[in-house]
Amino acid sequence: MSSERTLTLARAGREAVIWEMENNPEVFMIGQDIVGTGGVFRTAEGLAKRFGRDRIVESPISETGVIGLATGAAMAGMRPLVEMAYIDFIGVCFNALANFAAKTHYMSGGQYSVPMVLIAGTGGGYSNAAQHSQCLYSLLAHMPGMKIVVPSNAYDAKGLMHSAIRDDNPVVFLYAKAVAGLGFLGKPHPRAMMAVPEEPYVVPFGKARISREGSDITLVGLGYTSVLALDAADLLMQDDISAEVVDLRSLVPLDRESICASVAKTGRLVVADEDYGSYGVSAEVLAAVAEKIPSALRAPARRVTFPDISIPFARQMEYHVLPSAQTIADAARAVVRGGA
Amino acid sequence: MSDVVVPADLWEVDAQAVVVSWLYRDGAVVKQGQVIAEVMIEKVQFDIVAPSDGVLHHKIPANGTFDRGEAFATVNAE
Amino acid sequence: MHELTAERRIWMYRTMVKSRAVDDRLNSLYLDGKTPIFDFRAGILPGELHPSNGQEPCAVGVCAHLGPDDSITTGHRPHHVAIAKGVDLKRMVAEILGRATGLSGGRGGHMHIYDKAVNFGSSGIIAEGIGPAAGMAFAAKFRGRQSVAIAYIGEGAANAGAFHEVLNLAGIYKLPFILVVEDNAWAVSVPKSYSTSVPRNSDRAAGYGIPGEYVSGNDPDLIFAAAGRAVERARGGEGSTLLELQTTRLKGHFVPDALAYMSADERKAMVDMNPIYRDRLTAEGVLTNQEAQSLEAEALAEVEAAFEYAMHSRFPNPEAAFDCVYA
Repeated sequence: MSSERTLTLARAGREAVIWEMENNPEVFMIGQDIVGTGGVFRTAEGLAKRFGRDRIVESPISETGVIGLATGAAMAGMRPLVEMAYIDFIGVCFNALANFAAKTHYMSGGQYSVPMVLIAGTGGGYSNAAQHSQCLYSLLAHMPGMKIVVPSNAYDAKGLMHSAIRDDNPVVFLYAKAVAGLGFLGKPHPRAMMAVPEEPYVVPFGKARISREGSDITLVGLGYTSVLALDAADLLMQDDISAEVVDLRSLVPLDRESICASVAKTGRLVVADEDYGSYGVSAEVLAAVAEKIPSALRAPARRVTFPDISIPFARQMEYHVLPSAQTIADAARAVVRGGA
Repeated sequence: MSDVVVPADLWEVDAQAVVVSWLYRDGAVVKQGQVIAEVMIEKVQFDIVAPSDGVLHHKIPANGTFDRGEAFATVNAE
Repeated sequence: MHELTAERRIWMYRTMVKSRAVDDRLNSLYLDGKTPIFDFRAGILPGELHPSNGQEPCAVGVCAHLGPDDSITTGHRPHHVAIAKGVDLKRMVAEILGRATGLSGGRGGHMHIYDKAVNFGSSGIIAEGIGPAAGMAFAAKFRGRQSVAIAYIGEGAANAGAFHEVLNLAGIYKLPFILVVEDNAWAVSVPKSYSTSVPRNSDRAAGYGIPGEYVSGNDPDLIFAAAGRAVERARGGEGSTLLELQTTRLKGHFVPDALAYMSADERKAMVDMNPIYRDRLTAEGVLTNQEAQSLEAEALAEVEAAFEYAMHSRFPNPEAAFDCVYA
């Protein structure tokens, strides 16, 4: 009998991919550098050797063509995984994903489904500037027909990847780079590493996770900010503020019930999102509360987000505006002190 | 008892290695061939597997460095 | 059309030396502070760095024909082209080091180098600069100017949609536009032999009704000749050209690239043109050895001054992040 192992997100997600590929011969991966380097974010490390190049398909720099091709293979019943490195590249092929892949089931009246998974890395905080540091959560979540998941830890990463590959809809599976455990970002974040069972299991979509119970304020996070919210909760304990942390992990479908249940309990809310602030995830969380439990709030809610600006290169500027455990805790204290 | 080392053919450069992460804690029971650690030499990351079945003993913690050829852990038969 | 004079050849060599000195210095600054666990965030030069070591001939051979009114867009490997185009070297190095005195005040960093004074801009998403260069060519033609616009891409970008769309536009609008493909044979870890359905992208130009030319050997003089033909066509109102230039990426894709996906033979086969061009110029009597040494010392002094300037420049005010969102 062997012991528990602690994995990084990237490794755990890859384990799910391997299991699904071993158990379904029509699951294949396509993307740039997946053979030569195992993918820039290690999503395909070792897979070409294990499964061969018919199933780990290296592609040129042709995002529109590749997503289109994957969509067609999915419509024919295969299960493609499209490895797109940085989510920032989605701009090149947005039509192929959001207008075609995501809408085909609807437009065909249910005749065709598109069981495809798009895997990409999100986020910044490592000086990779405006075009390689984005989250784009709201851009993707806004379009009907796709499911979007963002795990914040290794256990969820594996379970959500199993769910993603088995789902019959287009799923966008996003690795928050700051917590994924990637070779070029130093030591993996300890909160993201976790014991992961060796056998397959699913984490269902549409269910948020209460990663820490508390009574005074609800902190909602996604991906990197979910981990930051836990760090903020530790800081808040020093001020005797008990924070409950809600890890959204599933953006579409969104678990509005869990968000509202937590805010109904605590009466206070801070939403932390690494994406641009306006028109996004934080607004959707606030809308859920305003629509369903408007009188539950004892003080105005606050959001801690990246501002509505391009992501600057110089770290003096980038780190100044990126959400942090400190800024989340500050917002929480302001909500606690400002309210009834 | 067997030593856990980075295979000599992977260690080309004259630099120290660093343990990026341990997948199994100190004292865990491991099986031969399981990936037990992620190690980085210069800019390249490697998966290191257990050389035999047994109990893992860390000699270098996560973030710690070690030299070429040095055993950074051992696996003792139970 | 410009002749290949001794003066121009000396300029090309001097610029290759200058460019290499900048990249060598950046490479070592980059690695500083990033060990033992490699971490993009750490050190004086964080983020990604895509060095141009080896590709200098592609920059100098083309830019030798250009003036400040000619426009260039390029991608994530911009340094050699920026330097050859005459970008402000001090402010470029300051930008790469994220200083307030940088060309973009530290907002862009190494992949996003802009110098409007010489009509140069680089950006990071593959193939996205092709359309804008064609647009600058469109503006030049609209205004009856003689200037040309050039987009630099790698051979990997020739498989992206924009390559095909914009070449077709260049064909139908007969733009004073040149698409320069730097063929270093690798798109990160993907070889051209795998990714591209034909051996030469220059042959694809015929599919868009424009001439294409392939230049082998990473040779500044041959590149100069081919670029001269393309620039003459463009300035003369005869339209666009696709130039594909064989070159070599001596340091791999980016600094932490260990080139593990290349065979030992492939790595050994990479040739550094800088010393070869020097030997050619001295052998042909264009430069004496002493003149070459003194030219190299001058170039290095200029580079040193640029780094001094950058290293002593202040960092941006954090609140400056909020400027420049809108005009």
